[in-house]
Amino acid sequence: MTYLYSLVKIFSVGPLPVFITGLVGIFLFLVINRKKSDFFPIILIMAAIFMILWRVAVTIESARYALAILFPILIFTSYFPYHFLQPFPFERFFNEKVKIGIGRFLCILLFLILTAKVLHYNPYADCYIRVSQAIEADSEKRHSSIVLYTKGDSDWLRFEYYLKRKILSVDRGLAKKENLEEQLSLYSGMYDGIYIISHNMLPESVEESSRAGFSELMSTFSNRHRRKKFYVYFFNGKPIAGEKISGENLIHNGGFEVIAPKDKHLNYIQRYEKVNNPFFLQPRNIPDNWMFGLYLGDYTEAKLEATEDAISGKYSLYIENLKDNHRFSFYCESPIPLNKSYLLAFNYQGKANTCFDLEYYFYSEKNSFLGNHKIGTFIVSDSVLHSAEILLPPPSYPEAKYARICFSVYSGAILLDDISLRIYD
Amino acid sequence: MKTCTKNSFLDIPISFFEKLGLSLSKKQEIFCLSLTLIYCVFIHLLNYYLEGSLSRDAIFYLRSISFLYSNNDNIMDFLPKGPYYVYPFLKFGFSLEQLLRTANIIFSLGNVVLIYLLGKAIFNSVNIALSAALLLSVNPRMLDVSVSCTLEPAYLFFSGFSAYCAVLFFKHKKYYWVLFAGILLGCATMIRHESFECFILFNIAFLYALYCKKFKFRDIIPVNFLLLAGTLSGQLIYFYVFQIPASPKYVYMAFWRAFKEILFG
Repeated sequence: MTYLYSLVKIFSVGPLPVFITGLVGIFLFLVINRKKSDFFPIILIMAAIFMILWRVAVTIESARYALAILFPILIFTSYFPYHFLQPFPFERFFNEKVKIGIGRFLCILLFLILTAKVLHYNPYADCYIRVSQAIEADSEKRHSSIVLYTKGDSDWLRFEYYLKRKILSVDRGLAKKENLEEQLSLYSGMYDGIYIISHNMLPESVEESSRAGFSELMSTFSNRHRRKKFYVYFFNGKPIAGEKISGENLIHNGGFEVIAPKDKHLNYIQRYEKVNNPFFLQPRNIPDNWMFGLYLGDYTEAKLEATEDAISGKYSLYIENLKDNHRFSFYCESPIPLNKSYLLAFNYQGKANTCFDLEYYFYSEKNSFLGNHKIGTFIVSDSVLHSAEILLPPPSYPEAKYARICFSVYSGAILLDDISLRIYD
Repeated sequence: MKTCTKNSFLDIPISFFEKLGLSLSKKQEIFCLSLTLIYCVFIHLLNYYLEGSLSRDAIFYLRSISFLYSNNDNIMDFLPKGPYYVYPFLKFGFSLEQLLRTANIIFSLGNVVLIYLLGKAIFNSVNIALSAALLLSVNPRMLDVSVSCTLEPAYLFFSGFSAYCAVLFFKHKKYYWVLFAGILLGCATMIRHESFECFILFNIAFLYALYCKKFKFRDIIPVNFLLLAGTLSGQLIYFYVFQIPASPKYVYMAFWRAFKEILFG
């Protein structure tokens, strides 16, 4: 079936009538010149057949991979109208002028058919631009917002380009109620506007049960046949109720006011001395109870230190990843017992389009590392000071007894302060 | 009707249409081709207006160019910062998107001219050549890829030009045409891997030429050597002048690094 699918794709390059005319032209040429061997046309026929067979053999997903076949096929498509009378006995009734006239007429006919096909354009081709404009206009009213794309394909690139801001492609389908609610609860404490671009209409039950402010911003078809549609939903993020929070702040030195002794991280840094990376050699102020995370190596190019240009108090933590798409992580050393629900709160200010992950590092009862789990990816939409409140999800490792909170910056720079973790009832 | 006795463009002898006194004159021929090209530009601009959004490939390419400019992509540390040809355009206030769109129109026009030249070289017929050019100028798939700014028009241009050089080689038996064919093929392979099929096709054509006794068997070695040398130099030219777009970048990067390590340790 994949071979047949490839063949259909190849034929659609023409489009189909033109491609078939081209093949008939090849056949016609072979019939007319069966006793001669014209070198170049034969080579062109070989090229056409080879290119078709090659693409069928390797199988192609899109017709544009077969565009090179257009050259031989169109030449033989043009050959056909001028020579199609030749094999027939009544050919002698037409003089050369008439034959060329018929040929030109047929070519112009094909040209008009193709022009008509070109002009039958997709009126929804600008759907990416219109969706982006709608989100842009609406997000101007919000203090902070995030755009989630739900399909998991690379169309998010197009939205990102037209929106001129980072958007988050969510792997898990948000058409499922539990996935949607999980994502909304994760981001609602961080942003006051959450936009969801989806190919599917989100379930009605979610709309009924979800909080006030969940609404359809717009919807538009994306193809001419009106089979595909983009829906844009808006969710009004709400701050989490303060009265449900109780207990002490479980994160020691969450304000980064205490600086660790210079030799505290020496052993750790010495592990990387061999790579001779300046990042590990320079002296810096690292806050007490905070440490570089996993995934460091010779590629690490980052800045991490307590800076006096603080959000509150004397110090804030400044993290900058100078190497896009190579994660740079740091974590809180004090472990959290995993027997309650927790609310993580922090203040942050960053460069626009900074992208960072919030992660768990899980540990067993004997304090051995079990693995990590991404809680969520966050994007800083502007350079204004923001406050975030994130309800941490339950652990993904059943045997995990403790966890550490980890931030991983993928691109950009961020200033963090006043990190607190409290029990959420 | 005035006819030309010798085509200065291609050095092709007078076709049988010309002998019959039915061919277009040189002026008419150029006029028809120019009209086709003007129509091609018009239909492109109309399509940009009607369906102007960029494809994923184009956005990926624009992103990779931006990466080069911001110098964040450190695997490219041995390359100059950004492709050279972009600088003057950006200096005059053009955006990368406008530049990409303009380049696509130019490559599409190049393809129309190439199919015309190929048609003429292969069938010795102006009618067939012009008709093929006309049909290519309005081919919906071509327009689609060109308007959405994928890299296919550039790939087709380089591989088509390479094929045309190969045709000239078989026509005139001059070895420098093989070298040109190789250089252009090298450029095409840097855009799409599929272009390597032209290498096989060239050899099939050469074997057929041997069968037709146009060449001697011993010619196969210098021809393939020139084609390969041309391909490698074409890849280097493309690498440094245009720079590698989209997905093949990382494949070639890996080859390049292996090559560098073997050579320089």
